Amino acid sequence: MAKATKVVHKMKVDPETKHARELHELEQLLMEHKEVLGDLLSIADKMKDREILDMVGSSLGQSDKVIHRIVTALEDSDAPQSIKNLLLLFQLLGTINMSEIEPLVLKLNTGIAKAAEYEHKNKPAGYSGLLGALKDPEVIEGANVLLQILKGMGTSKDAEENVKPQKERVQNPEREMDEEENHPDTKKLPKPYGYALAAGTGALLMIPLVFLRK
Amino acid sequence: MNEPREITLNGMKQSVEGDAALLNHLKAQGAEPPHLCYHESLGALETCDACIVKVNGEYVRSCSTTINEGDVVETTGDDIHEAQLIAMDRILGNHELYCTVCDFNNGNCEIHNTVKEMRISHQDTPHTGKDHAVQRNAFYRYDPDQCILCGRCVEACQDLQVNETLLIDWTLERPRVIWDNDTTIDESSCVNCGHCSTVCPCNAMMEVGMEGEAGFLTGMAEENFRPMVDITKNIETGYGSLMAVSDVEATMREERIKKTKTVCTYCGVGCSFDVWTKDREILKIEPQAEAPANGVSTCVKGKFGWDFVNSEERLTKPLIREGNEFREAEWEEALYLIEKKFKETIVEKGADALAFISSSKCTNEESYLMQKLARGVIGTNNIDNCSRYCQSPATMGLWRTVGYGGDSGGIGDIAQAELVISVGSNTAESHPVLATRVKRAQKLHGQKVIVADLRENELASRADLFVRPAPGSDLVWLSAVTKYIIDQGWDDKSFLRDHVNDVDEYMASLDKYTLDYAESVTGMTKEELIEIATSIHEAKTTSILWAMGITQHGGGSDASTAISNLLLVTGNYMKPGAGAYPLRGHNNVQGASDFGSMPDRFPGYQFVTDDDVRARFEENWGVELTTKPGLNNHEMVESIHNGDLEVLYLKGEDMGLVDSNINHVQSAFEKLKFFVVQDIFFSKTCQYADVVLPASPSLEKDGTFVNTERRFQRLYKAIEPLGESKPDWQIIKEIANRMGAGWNYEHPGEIMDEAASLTPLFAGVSYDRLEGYDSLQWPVAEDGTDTPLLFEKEFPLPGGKARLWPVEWTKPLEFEDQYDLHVNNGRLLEHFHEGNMTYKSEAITGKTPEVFLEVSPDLAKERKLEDGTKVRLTSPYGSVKVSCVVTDRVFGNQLYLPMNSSGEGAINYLTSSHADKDTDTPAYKEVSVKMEVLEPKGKSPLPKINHRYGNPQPQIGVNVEEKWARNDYIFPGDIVKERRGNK
Repeated sequence: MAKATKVVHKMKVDPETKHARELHELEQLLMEHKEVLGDLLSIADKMKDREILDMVGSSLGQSDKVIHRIVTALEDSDAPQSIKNLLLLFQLLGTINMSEIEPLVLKLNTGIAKAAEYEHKNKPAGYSGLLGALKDPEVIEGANVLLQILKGMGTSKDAEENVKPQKERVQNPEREMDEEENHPDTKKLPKPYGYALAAGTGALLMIPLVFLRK
Repeated sequence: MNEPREITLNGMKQSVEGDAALLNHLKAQGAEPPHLCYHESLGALETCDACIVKVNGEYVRSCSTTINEGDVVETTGDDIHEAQLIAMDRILGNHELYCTVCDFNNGNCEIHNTVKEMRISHQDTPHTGKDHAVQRNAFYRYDPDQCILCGRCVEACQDLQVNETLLIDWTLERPRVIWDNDTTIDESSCVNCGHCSTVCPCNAMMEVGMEGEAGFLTGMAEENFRPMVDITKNIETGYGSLMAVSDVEATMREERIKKTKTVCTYCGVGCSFDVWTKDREILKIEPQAEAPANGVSTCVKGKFGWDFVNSEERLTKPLIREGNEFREAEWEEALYLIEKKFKETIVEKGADALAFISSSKCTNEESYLMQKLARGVIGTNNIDNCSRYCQSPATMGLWRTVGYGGDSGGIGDIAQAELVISVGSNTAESHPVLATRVKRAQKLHGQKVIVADLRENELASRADLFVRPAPGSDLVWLSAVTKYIIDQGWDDKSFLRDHVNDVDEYMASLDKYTLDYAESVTGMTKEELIEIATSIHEAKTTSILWAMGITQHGGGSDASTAISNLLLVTGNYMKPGAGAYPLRGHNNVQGASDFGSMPDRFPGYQFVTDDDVRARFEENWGVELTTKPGLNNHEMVESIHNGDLEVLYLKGEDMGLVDSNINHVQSAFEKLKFFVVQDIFFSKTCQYADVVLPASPSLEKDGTFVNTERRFQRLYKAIEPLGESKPDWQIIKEIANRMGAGWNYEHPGEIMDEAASLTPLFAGVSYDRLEGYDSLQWPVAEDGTDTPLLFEKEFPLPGGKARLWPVEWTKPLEFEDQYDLHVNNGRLLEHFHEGNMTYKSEAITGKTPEVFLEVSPDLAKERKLEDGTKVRLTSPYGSVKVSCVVTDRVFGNQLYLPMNSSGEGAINYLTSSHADKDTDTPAYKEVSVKMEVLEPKGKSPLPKINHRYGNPQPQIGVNVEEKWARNDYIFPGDIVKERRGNK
């Protein structure tokens, strides 16, 4: 005859037995991971020496407040711009073709070396001298290289730009669609091309003047 | 429409067969355009415009375009891309991309993925809010500022779940989703089925369980969220880097969020879905379109009713009775005690002094092991399961007439039937997801629905014809309709000739079921009877659904037989969309019997008296088996009272509450010499036990269930068993091995292999064939061929023919005049049975905190009852105390008392031991009571935030035409056309 009952006595666990069992479990765990623990503790010692552990502990203890301070400070500072620039730099580095740029760098180095060797002799070079220099094969080669650079600079690469955060873009409503229309497949010469060529040629002519100033 | 069509796709000529939807064809061809509102379970909504392509030179939405002969389709080209970009830009103006700090960033955000695929790096339209606060309740929340107005949630609510709560108000300056007439979620008609959050492509409509839990950075304090989003947006250099960072974070989430396929453990529909867990925490239920029974559908219980798994009330250690108290014990001690008592009883009284009750909540493998323990280890056939309380009469009716006791087809067949007749079934609350298929078919595809019920349940209120036969009189009107059909010459003569036996004998038995007789017994009018007969005659396919309103009567098996007779006479078997659908109530009520937890049958309904069958089991199990059929549940109770049955081992059933006449059952439990109860909670039945064993629910184990469609589906272990609880199969194995069985199953898959090898009905079932969402509907041949349509060529009866089975009406129990009110009883949508699982959900309990008694306005007026009036109902067998709710869902002197209480409102204090004469299923539905008012005034048991007070707003879909008619809307294709035209 079992009468209905709702009385349930929880098992009383002897604290000493429980303690002993848990201690045993812990001991086994320690033995299993002896080496890792040794390494970890050594790192922890060093962190303790430099108060890093305290810092981490305090930060975690007050994590919500800390995060709040950080995000509000970040929001009002130049930090987002720095992070953005950093990200952009990474992206730009990815676009540079080092094998193509190497000969250019070597040429530039030679140019710089020559510029450094050049001694100003306090007398005007004269247009005839300059024109004479244009016969020099090295000068012609250098001018050709510069011309190609300028030509490349004149080509539209808007579509590949990344430096266009959302906020700036929304102030320029028509731009997204224009960009699509300027897809390379459209086979239309980009308008800035002619101007770029003219400007490039002008700039080329200015270069000797730059070197000759002072 | 299905004839091959020649089209040109991007310059290539090709032939298209079958599906004429352009978007689907493009997907198949690998030319899928972007799309956000289209959902394979919902179809074309035409709200997002992202899937624009060109057909014959015109810009069209590919989701809603059908392919015609000679079409020239273009999916590439700057202009098309430009139109798609315009659409996406509008979407991004409604949705802020802060993916890394978004709980929805789990690899499945469709906006994120589309932005990535389209390589969109910027947007023109700045994101702006919709100037409305976040809507939320305890289940889900809606953030209008993240909502892209795709309308999937509205479509799902209006046309898939057909609850008709959600709309998009296109008249607002900034349209957004609204509930009913723009009220709060809780005060609306929302039933929290979760469809909206399931189909939402982003984080606008999201389960609250996900909030702050899914991501590594999403759990931050509220005040930090906005600055964090702003910083992210300032830093990001176009969406590319944002996508990369959030993709990395989403991948990291996969390490700690486990997604496990499981099968719902509530009703018999058999919804399957992924459960997302983080350690033991359940983040959300994520239904999958590929789920065979439910697709993306769920009800509130399946979607949100899982808190019970981590309830503090779970049993975590065995309990042993000492006098009138229990104490926690170690497994070793509990199992030793069981072994000792079982062995002593076998020696002293013989094996038949022990009995076993299996559970319809447990897996097939567990049901198999329980009957193997009883038969093969203990040596008795005293094994049964709770289908005895509900479904045995339906099974009996089908065995008699068509040979198999299962649904004739699948849920898809019910959806495609031209006519659905629901008899004695509160389908929309008891099998909510199955009901959605009927509601959808009726709303969108013109399916005709007839409901016969005492109460105007939801399906009844939607029905084309709702009839209210007198309680327990269904056999009479079903037979009268059958006779009328025959008298009109509408019977399917060729079907009867080719496929049915005993036709003449049956026809002769119908003489008495005239329309006049039916009218006098059932209270239905002749016109109603004729309309039902005519509807069946006019429909090419009729499916009849029935449940406890038919089976839980003195003549439950006969009424079920009458349904099958009607279907046979009208030829409504052996074809898709037609047949008999006894709707199974529990997740595995079908499987519990399929796997042999029955006193007279082995797994696969093989008789224990069949020598060949028994020999097969004896050889495999290595034991000699008894030939004598055992006791069913009902007989067990009587046998305990008689002193013959002394030991009972019961798992996963609260028999002390769910059996009828529970005072009688509980007093039997008191007489048991030894009683073992295995459960996940300390149930009412546990209170009578000598040993209570802590079991694990479905999420903590592997196994299979069989749903109402005869469909096998696998569930996988999502989390470890809580505390020292164990899966039932492991507990049974340990008990069996203590009794000397020597079982060495290591995984339920091995148990299934053994069961399948002994059972022709599902010989081809194996875990390999049930991988993931794969499923099989029995019978399953050895080569794995299953049977979605149960009867295709013949019936499994002599000669391959069905048989018509004459039936007589059994009058319901008659009560003395003082018991003047009839008590109907059944389920509620939001609670399951006695509620030991669903009441553990704070969210569900907040909406529906306690049981209530539905009384009609007429009765309320007569007895001065109002919402909150507390009454005592007394039947000859006991009494209950419960508070009233006045509603026009019930009529006259009929009451409705949901079964969802384990307290003083429990219906089975009123029910009797009267049972179906053929199966001993209790006649729960034959109860009359008298009523006393205890407290005239009180708090309504149904809070105003219950969905029953809501105000649904039916419409078809999302009403996109209203969007298109807005002044600020221009079709992106038109914009592009104009731009190009101007150049």
